[in-house]
Amino acid sequence: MRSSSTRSSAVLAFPVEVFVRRYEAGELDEGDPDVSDLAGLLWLGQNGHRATA
Amino acid sequence: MIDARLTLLTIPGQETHYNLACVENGERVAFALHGVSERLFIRQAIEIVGDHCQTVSYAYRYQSGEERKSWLLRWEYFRERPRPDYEYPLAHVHANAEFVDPDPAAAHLPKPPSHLHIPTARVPLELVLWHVIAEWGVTPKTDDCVSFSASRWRASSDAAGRLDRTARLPVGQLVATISRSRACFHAPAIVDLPATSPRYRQLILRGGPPL
Repeated sequence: MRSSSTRSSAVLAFPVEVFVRRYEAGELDEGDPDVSDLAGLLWLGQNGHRATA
Repeated sequence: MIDARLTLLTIPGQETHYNLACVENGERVAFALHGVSERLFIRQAIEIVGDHCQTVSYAYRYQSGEERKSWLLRWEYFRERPRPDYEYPLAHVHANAEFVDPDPAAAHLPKPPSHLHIPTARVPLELVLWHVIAEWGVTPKTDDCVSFSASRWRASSDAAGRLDRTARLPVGQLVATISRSRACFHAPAIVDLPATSPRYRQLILRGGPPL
């Protein structure tokens, strides 16, 4: 089994607070796979959960 | 050969919330798959509710190489809208593809086809595994993996083949599913049970096989 690292996109360089603020403002590209992935990873909007660092 | 594993990641302060992913050197990575050069990235957010697990969100990404940007297909789901003005279907698929005849679409579509959130039902991980085995040439280590996925499909769909969206996954079944999924990968996938969660251990002991 071999797994691999992946390169970071621009949104991955954001501090969490910046990502959350810009995501909730609708400023990020929803077509970017990292955007929806991070929103899910941070549980944004799920059960009223807000992201924590 | 690197030993890959699926890991349940705890969320500080949230005893019943977990993210499931393959982690290597502190970074979430994509699995290599037997028989093909493509890779599969898995992220699933899981919440323990009562005596079962429910999927809160997922991102399954089939990609041609190591880079995130090499994705071919992406299945994504949010149980609730991630923000109030989220305007897309909560379960959807992205295809990194172009229209055969792009001009008519380009006249009306202000974004590339890969940015379309094409509606789906909620897609179980087993179906993604089944899909890459059936159509992309991924080789399961045993035939049992395929028959197991097929049985899960039948169990979770009605006569018209639609997914039962109310189906819930007991904790033990989640563990069993992950254990069965090991057969699809080169090396054993191991679930790291969070040592900090007595509640989760209790559920595993009551509802599923020990790992």
